[in-house]
Amino acid sequence: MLFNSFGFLIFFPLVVIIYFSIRSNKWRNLFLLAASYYFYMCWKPIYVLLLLTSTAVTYLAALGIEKHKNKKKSFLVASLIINLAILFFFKYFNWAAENVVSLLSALGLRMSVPELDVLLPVGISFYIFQALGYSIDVYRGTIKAERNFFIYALFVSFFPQLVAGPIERSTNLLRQFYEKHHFDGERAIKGIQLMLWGFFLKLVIADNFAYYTDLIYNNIEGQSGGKIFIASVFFCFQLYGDFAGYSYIAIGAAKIMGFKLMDNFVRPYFFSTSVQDFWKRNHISLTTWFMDYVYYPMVGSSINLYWWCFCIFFTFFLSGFWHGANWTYVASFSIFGFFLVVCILKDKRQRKFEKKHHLKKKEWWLWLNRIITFFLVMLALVFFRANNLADGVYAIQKIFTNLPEGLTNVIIQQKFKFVLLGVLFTIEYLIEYKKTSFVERHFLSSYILMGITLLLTIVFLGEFKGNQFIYFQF
Amino acid sequence: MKKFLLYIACVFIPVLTGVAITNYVVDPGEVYSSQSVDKIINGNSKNLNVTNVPDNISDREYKKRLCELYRGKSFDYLVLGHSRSLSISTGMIPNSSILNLWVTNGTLEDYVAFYEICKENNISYKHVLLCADPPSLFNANYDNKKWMTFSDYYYKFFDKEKPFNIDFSLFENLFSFSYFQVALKDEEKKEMTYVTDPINDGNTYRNDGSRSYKKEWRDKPQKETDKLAQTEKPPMFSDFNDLSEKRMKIFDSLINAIYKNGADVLFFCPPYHPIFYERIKNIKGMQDGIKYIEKYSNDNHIRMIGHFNEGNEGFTNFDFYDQVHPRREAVEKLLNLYLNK
Repeated sequence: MLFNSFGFLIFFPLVVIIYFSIRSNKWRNLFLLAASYYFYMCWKPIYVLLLLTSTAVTYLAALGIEKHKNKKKSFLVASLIINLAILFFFKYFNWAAENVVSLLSALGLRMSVPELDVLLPVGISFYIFQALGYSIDVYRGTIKAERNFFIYALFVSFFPQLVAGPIERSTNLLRQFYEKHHFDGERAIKGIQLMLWGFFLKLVIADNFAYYTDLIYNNIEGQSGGKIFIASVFFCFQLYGDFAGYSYIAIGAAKIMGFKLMDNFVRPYFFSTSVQDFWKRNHISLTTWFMDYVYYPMVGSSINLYWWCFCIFFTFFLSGFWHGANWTYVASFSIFGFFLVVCILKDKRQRKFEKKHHLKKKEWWLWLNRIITFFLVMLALVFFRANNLADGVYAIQKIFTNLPEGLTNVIIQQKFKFVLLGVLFTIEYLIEYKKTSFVERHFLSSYILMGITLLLTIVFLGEFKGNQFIYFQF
Repeated sequence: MKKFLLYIACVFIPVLTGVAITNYVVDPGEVYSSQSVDKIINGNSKNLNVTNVPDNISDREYKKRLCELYRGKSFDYLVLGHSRSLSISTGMIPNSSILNLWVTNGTLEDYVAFYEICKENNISYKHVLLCADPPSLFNANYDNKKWMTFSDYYYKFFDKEKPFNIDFSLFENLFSFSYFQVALKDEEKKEMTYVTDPINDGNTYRNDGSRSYKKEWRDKPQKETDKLAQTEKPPMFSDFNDLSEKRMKIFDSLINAIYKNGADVLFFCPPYHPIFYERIKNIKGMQDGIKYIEKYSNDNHIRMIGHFNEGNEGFTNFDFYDQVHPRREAVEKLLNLYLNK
């Protein structure tokens, strides 16, 4: 069931009404669990068994970790192996086999590996990582093991964030199922507003930009540098609109029911002053997951700067694999890893320079850094969008050697999309610079006005071809 | 609670009401009325073609009414298909009469329903030209519900009662934002007129059920056609990973029923735009589907009119209106090659 479908527009209000009609918190949670499983089964019913398996394995592993402290590592390892094996089988097997066969073939050896005819289960990377995060948290003693299986199952399958995040932490979400939430009109209004904003990002921004991006990237040979550059810029906002859109809908939906999910995006494309800052603002739930469960354990107590550099590069290299079975994702995130290494190495020198010239709070300096950061992020994301590595290399080459060709024409042809970008920038600017006090002073009228504006924009400018969210394929 | 209700009342009710009213009144696809269909049938009943037909009429409703108009009549060829067969018309096959029951986004279920509708109206035919595109026949993930307009006939084919089902489509359409956008773009309609020419400036529906596109669509620059082939992909090709076993059985049942009825079947398999074909030829469902059609036609001695892009009919980019629809001249060329030897 897509968020941008008629089915969801019927499903969600019904769930909210029934949820708040049930008095007992226990029955509310059971109802939410049933609704979440129904939501997931709308994709492909049989894959609910995978969700259940991952849930059961991590639930039992956590109990084992707590009960048998001398064997806790074994339970954690078992949980990791089983869940990652499920992920590998459904997401990476065919790709890994293809690569092994190619490698052996290059070495003059022949080998055939059967191709598995399996569909990638929607959201598998998200819920498995959420469940694994829980296992690790219990192992570390950050949280006690959840004894109630149904509550834990609801934590893993909670429908607003089940298929495309945010990847929630047990320390944040689990305890919320024990709180009894009352319907709050103002909170519900804010929740609906977040959902409308999410739909705006997806249907108006992402789906409108997708058209041009696909046009160029699906036929990249022979495209001019200018067209590729603009398509790459548009892709950044397509990705943002798509993914942040989903996150806002998820966060808004959860908010209506009284649940607080973590922020996943904080205006990363217009306002990041470095690649490091970008990753503190973009897909926060995934970045913090990899930082907390890969990077920091690797770094340990080391103070060796070069070890830190290696660890950050490796962490991002690994997160490239999370995104999918394609070398383009690995390449994209390796580039991000490289940029972060540079950030680490130049950090001290840059701070000295900024202090010496009193640049830190100067607006022009901030904007210069933001523009450079956007350009670097855009370059890394070229590979994320490219259909293969060769296309990615071709695109980068063209951007650097052939940028002016066709640039002006494209900007004129795509002027409507630049107007959309202008609108997006204006709204995010007001939020970033906290120029929204009028909203809180005139709560209801502001929200009504914003709501009508967003809804009308979606109605008139939204793309309704039923495009799936990009991150569903992860 | 008051604030919340006021918010809902001020934001959603006016906008959704506006959308619903616009959708109902403008009704670009004539979902809530059938004025255009009435006028076309009136023209066809006088053996005339009708031009300036709006783009989005309910062509299933029209085809059913056409069958009622031709109750008891017999034809040499009956065409069951979708828009890739829309231009097959009387005159393309010498000394043969044609009744073309193509429908927009036609799927196997539509073919079955129209088989029954023809039976109900005692329409007889010698040959059935069946549009055998693998995705419209066998893609289980292509959930096009348009055939449910005549689901009674579909279930009648299997001697089954239609299952209880509340059809929300009319209600859903009332609040559909995409329908609203189409309603806004609804150009000032030209008056539909009765003509004798098969090809005119406007969309023309001929009295044999075939159609010719409006001049604007026919004569658009080749660059635009090639761009569509590069970028657009009809929904029936999405998630086309496997052939549906259920649909393969239905397909077999339909073919058997046609033969039992005393007619024979030919598979209409025109090519796709070459650029588009490059994009879809490696889709697993397409590969399996084409093999299945070829094997089925071999095993059951059914002629294939065209072999998608694997035949040597010499189709080029210039033979297409867009990524999937062959030009009228190209369809005629194909029929000539296979039928008029």
